[in-house]
Amino acid sequence: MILRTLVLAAALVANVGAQDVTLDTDGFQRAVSGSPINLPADHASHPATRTEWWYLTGPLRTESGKLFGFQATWFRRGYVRDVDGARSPLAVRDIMLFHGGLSDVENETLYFSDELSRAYGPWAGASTERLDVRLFGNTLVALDDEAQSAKLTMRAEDVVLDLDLDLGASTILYHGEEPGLSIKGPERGQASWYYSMPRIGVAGTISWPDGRAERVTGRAWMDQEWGSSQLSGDQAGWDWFSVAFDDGTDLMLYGMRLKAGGLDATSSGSVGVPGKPARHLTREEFTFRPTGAWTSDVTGATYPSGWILEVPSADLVVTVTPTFPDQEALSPGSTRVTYWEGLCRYEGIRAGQPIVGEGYVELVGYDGEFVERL
Amino acid sequence: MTGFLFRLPLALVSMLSDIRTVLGVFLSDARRHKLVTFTTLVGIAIGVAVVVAIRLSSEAALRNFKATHTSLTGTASHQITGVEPLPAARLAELRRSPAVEAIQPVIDASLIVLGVVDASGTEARLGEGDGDEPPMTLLDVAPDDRPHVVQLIGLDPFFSTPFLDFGPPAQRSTTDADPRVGQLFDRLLTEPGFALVPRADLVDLGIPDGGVLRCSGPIGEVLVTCAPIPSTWSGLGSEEGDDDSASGKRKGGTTPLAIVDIATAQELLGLGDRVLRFDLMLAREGDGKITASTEAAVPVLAGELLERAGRRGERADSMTYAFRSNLLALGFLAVLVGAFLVFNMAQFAVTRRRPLLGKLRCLGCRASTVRTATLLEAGVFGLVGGLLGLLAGRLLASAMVDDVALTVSTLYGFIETPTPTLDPLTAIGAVLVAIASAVGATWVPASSAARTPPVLVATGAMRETATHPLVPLGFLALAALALLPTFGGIVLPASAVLLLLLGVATSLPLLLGALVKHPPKNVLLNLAAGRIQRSLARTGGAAGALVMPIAMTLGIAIMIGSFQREVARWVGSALSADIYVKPLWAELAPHSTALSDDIVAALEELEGVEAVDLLRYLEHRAGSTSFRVVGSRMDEALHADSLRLLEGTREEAFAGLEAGNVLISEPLANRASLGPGDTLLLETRSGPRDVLISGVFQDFSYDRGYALMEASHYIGTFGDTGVVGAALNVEPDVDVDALQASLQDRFPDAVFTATRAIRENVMVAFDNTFAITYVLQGISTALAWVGVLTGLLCLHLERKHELGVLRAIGSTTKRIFGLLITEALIIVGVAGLVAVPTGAALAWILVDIVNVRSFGWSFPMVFDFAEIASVLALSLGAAGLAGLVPWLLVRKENIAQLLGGGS
Repeated sequence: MILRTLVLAAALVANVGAQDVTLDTDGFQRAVSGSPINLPADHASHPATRTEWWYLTGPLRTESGKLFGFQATWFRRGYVRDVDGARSPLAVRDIMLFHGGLSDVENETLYFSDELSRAYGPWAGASTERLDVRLFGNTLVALDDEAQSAKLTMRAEDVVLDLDLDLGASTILYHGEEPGLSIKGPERGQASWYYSMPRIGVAGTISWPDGRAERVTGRAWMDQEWGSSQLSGDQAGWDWFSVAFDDGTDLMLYGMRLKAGGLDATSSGSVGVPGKPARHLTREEFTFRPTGAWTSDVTGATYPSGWILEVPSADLVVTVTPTFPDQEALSPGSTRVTYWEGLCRYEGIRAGQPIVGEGYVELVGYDGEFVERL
Repeated sequence: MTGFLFRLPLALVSMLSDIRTVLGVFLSDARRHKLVTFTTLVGIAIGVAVVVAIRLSSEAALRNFKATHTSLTGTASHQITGVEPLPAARLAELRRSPAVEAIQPVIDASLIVLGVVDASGTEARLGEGDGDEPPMTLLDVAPDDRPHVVQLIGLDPFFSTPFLDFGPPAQRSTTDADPRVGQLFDRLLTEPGFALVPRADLVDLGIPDGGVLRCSGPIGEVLVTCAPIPSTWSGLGSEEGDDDSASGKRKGGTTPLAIVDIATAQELLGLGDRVLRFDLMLAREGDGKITASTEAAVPVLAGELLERAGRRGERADSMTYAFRSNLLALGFLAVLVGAFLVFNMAQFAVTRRRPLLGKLRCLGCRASTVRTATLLEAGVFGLVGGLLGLLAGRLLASAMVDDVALTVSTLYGFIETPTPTLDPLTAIGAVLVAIASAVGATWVPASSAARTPPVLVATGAMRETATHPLVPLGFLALAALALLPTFGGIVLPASAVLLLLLGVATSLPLLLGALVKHPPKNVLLNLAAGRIQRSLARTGGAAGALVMPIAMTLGIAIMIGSFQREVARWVGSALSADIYVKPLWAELAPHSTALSDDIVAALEELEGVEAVDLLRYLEHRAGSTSFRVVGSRMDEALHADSLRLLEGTREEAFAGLEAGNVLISEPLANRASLGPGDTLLLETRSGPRDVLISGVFQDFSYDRGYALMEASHYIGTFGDTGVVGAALNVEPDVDVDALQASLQDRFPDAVFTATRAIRENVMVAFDNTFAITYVLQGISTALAWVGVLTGLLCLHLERKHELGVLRAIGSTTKRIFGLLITEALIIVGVAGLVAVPTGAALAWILVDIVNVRSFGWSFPMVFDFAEIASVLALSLGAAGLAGLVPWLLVRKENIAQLLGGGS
């Protein structure tokens, strides 16, 4: 039941209306302008805000060319802003959640696990000093002070991934008109701090329950986002796209769907093309439209499946195709949110040149329960 | 053939009609003799009530004990407990094991409730406090002033879902239909001292929603804010107070629950970031079984114990085995006494009715009809008396359950007073026993009355005869057989007690008959002897009814008195140190816990202390037997006087300890049939090892028994399992009480007790242990009086016309009183004289056989002449009453009324 005290669901309820717009009703800090993101320090946790996540996705290839996709997400959900120092080390301040997925494209199978725990040193937590988030065996830890490299260990069902991350290899996208401040609603403070690292080099192993271990290499896209009141009650969910193309173009788009239909005006994106600074994309600068649909046998939810993305201002048209349809994730052990998070093929044309890439799509709010909760 | 087919139904119809007629006669006879009917029913009812009360109260107490010790395991397959509280961090390591499918940290402990503060801030103190300082730990509470406690259950709701059903998921979130549920959950997680309590427990404790309990725990006084558990969280005992099958708790008299977040539990109990156990769900094979290799794959550390979740229940069972055996034996006795009373009353009823039966026979009733009708009537008496007894037994159980709970609390660990519940099995069993006893008791006199020529029966010319001498002899022979040492267990010795009592009781008419056969030449004595002789079956029966409970009372009194003397002697010598130390947790949590390293280090450097003995122990389990292995500094200078060896010499014992051998306590020696020179198989760090036994010592502290080892050998054998206690010998010129007080102030995490206090506590505990036995003694005494009174009263009333004749020929009422008293004195005197040796024999069986076999300890039997005198006085009192009451009833009646006869 706790499971429902959830990051995503809770984050969807706007807390606007408090007297001090920089703080929510429980004293957590909202994201407001004037405090730009400072890396690597901001890789660390921001306990003054209510919600935060570290979200890694990306394609992996074995030496024999088999394709996999992985997702590793650590959520932090602030429960109490200030805990009396005299309380037990186990007293609840933050709750940590983890979602881990591995998409086996050849076998069209998604391995997925989710967990949650109160933040308590030996169990789970996020360092306020450096990139170091963990929930039992699922860990993401910087290996040096500058966070040039990190190690990721995660488990999806009985499959274990150990990945070395080359953070130093990646570009950085600061989202939002004010770089790093991603506006999510019309009110001040209805926003989050949000940056991405689209091109993290990855090398490691996938260990299978039968004892086999496969070497893999690939690329990861990492999002880190923190804030205290992002979403409005009239929003129904979102579609989120991220891809690093082979020509060096990075693209992130999200459409915030309204219950009444259509996209919220705060839907936005970022695009980075080689040789130019990355730039913010407003709602008006892009479109995306589904080209198909897929219905889950498990939940009955129908998701769009396949899209055409157009970003005229970047001279970019892309078709997005799921590597396989069933990449629906159920998280009964943590958020209890049902969503689709899958590896997709991105193929398109930018400035007249064909480009390809493998990236992720996230579709939230397509199962009835979630919409009702909103 | 055809004729037979016609005759058979006719014969049946005719017999049934005859039986109906006879029953009608019996009914009107019963109506006329209301007092006799009433006393018969009361006699049967009392017999049944005793049996039912003992069974119900002990069952309720034991059920409560087991529930308290197995609570909230939910669906866990295994548990890990530790020698000391376990670091919460261990959860991360344990859940990494593929063998572990789910795990949750748990803290369960008791808090003493001092009072309730309601929302307005007014406080009511619970219980019958007299305004003294509130008790601070269970140790400070005298065992007979039983405190209210709440059972604190600390859980981590994030890990509890697989173990406990928190209800349908849709019921819990910040967007719940009922937002109060979400708020309660948030408060549970975040509010210090916040607890969810089953609604029924809130009502029991008189706490309003949001009320605050002021409690005493290991860190002193703490406050617990209480709110009812939401109805949707069925796994924790719902708001409606329903039974909670998942948790094993039941309503009614169980310790109130307070569910708190794990962090809250740590704060209330001062546990830091430690927990008391982990509940686990281990991976199951395809067939649903958990294999030994899966168990072995759980990474358990030294000092941790992995066991099946059911084991705690089994352990509760095995802990209380001796107690249950004893109760079983007492129950047997109660059945016997009860059945005998029923037997007596039924037999009395038939014997009384012999003239009526004779008249019926003279009028043409067949013998078989008379017998069948008599037996049927007895069955109805058994049924009605049994039902009345059931009702009375249920009431009696409520009255005595507090004493049973006290005994269980003292012996095994605190339980709240439970509510006895009448189960169908007990109810049916008790009524069947009543019917069977009544019918069985009626069988012989009914058959004999049916067989005797009608004229003899009808004129009353036939004398009542005593039992055949072979009957008591048979019982006594069987009793001797049941005591043969070849048979183990305690069922047979208990049966021997039963057979002995039956033998003695059935021999009483014979003894009485022999005694009054040649009375001295004194008119009064002659008259009395004649009256006794003529109604030998009834007078003998009354004496038998008296002898059984009196002998039982005496036997139990001798046993307890002897035991008490020996325990007092043992406590006086066995506790050789001045101050004993144990961890605070040993008292409050049902786990063995250790003294912290800091305390241990400090103890070893105390000023004013001559010697420090650090105690370590572990529960050793080998197959179905379990015992404790204790490591102690077995310094001969310290222990030479305190250790009383029952087998082996002192020199051999201490030399053996030094060489790494063990001494075993008497209960272990008796249970495992071991002695000096034998070996004890121990599971050591390096595998199983046979260790030589150098002696057997006396001990009354632990009925499962223990093996004593020199500390250094213990550590070498099992590793350092943690110091669980210490004994301090203080220098001669140091004030023990002052030192104890200062140590207690300095180390609040440990409990320091001066030996004198322990001695006092042991004796109080001893009395509490026998609380149930004392109750039984009281009931026996009451039974004795009821038995003899009803028996003799009915007899006298039945024979009022004899008194009328005596009055008619000139006897004064004073003389009649003399006659009645003399008669009663003869009957009761014989019973009392027989009861003394019977009680002694009973005591011998209880002391030397039942006690040794159930608890494993022996002690010399000591006769307490005051007890014997009180038993005889009791008999005399009964005699006086038995003579006085009929006299009071008849003295005001005139001769004509007396000659009219009847009651």
